[in-house]
Amino acid sequence: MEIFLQQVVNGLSIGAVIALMALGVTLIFGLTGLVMFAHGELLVIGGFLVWFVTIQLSSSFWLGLMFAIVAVGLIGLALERGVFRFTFDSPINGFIVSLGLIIVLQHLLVELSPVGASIVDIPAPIGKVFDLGGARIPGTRVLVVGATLAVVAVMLWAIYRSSHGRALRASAIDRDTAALMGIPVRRYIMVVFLVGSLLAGLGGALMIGLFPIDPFIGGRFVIKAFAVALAGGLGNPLGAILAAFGLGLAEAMGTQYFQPEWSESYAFIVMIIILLVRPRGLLTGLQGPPAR
Amino acid sequence: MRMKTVATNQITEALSAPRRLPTAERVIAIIGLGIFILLLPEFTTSRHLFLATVTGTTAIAVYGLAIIFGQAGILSLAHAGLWAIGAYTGAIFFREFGWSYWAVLPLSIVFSSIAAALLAYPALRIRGHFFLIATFGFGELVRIVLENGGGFESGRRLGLIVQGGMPDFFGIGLQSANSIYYVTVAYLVIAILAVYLIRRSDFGATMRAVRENEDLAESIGIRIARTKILAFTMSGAFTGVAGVHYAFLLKHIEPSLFGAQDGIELALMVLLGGAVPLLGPLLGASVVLFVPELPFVDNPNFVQIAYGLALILLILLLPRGLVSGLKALYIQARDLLLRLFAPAPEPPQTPTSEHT
Repeated sequence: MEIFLQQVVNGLSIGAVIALMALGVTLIFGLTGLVMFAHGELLVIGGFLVWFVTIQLSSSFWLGLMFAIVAVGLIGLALERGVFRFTFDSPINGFIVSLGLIIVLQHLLVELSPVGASIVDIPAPIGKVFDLGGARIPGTRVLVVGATLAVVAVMLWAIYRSSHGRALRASAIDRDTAALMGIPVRRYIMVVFLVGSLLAGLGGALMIGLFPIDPFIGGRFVIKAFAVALAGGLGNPLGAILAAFGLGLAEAMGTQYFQPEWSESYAFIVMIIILLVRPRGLLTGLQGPPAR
Repeated sequence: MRMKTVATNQITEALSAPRRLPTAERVIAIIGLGIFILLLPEFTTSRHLFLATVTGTTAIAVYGLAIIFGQAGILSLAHAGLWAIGAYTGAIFFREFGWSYWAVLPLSIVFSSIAAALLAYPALRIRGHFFLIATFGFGELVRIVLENGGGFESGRRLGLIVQGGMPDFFGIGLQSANSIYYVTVAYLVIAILAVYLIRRSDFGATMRAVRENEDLAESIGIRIARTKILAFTMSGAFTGVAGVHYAFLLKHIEPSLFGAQDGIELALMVLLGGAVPLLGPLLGASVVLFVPELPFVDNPNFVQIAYGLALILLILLLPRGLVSGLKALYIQARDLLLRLFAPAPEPPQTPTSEHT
């Protein structure tokens, strides 16, 4: 029972990182039709920045967290302005550009990182360990899940309840008509890139609190983010978040109770089955702007 | 800001305008390339010759991808997985059951083709991005399955060793690097010829009809499902050949050679060179595999960064690929030279212009 509870918390904390990624990925897709595979690199950069501030500058984790969120957000905005806005006519080109960007960002990180391609880690930002019915729950995991839930709640409110959210959803459903109605769609695209990247920065900062990372870990997370974004229906933020926590739990349980070496494959199997059975995703999603 | 976008589009248009070269110039270019390829072993190091052999083998798989992307308009990131199926089929049947190279070759073709046909099923239901993501998942699944392995692998992630499997090709002993290179070139020529024949066939036209407008194609009686499955099956056959040859060439294969990252790399090759021009995949594979070997690059990180940047710029500026870009550059340079050196009162007649 203690092990089960521990695995639930583990699963939720991994799910939280995936959810933060998936939210950005699904929002960007909904508005631009872009499959942004380089999003995982933003996550890793966020983690590395936290490590840099915490260990290299021997400053506090919280300062690193703030710095990582802002810096990664700005990087994402710069990518939209400098690269991706030229690909919105042809999302498939944007997808390929994002593949090129993975290579660039990964090796730039290796080049700039003081330790090269090695693994980096920080001490747990919250040393306290909670006791929950015999299960020992590290405070960091509580922080990760709690912070994610809070951010997600704010995001969902903004998307589904605020007037900006309504404009955003309208733009996602039909970009041209929304533009005709006076919605500054281009500006919303910028904002979505900024917010998506902020979330990735936060995700990366929380991730390095959970486990050590290396510069090449981003790909694994972006795939999971897409798997859950698909499961929730691409362009459907609520669906993506539910699916992210579901996947995190499934992986944790799989690692504990089934064969751990296969837990990596769950995301793909789930994704392919969903694509085959319900091509638009489990919950209703958006088709995105027409390809090509 | 808007000005800049327009200018970029014009450059893109100019560089990627598909114009045919006159036959004479095409023949000269092909003969030149042929001589270069045939004489390569004379003036290169053994390391680069081996890399050229690997490039040729990889290019065969890229041609497989070029069929479905260039003709049927479906991009796949799973071709490294299909390639792996070909390579592992060959290696396992050679090592465990003592089959010869010539016996495992058709078997690998069959296995890779079947896997490719299965991969085509999602393509019947989902399009565009959704299919790309699904193929990505398929490629990664193949790698995970191989890593977790069956009883055939000597331990996790250790891979398979294929020692001394290269047979005699019609009496040519394949002991020297040169002869392996020439056999690979022969394979490559066959692959290019096959692509050429498929393109010219009725089936090629059918695939292009599906690519241009699926609904319209269906309305005139083209069976979409059959076309897509057949296109994938053909494509898989290429990866089967490439797989077997790759396994016997490298003598040691491991799952990490065929992951999703490598699937992306194959897609990059086909996009870089261009899927439609016949020499596109070969050029794409050569660029991707040889750029890290350039003499002035000593930091491997910078190679990768430059390579990623080049890819981004190419996609933004030359969406039809390098071959079309080079061709357009050549035509512009030639027209410029003609104008400079033949200042006739009328503009000189260039037979290429506006002729398709």
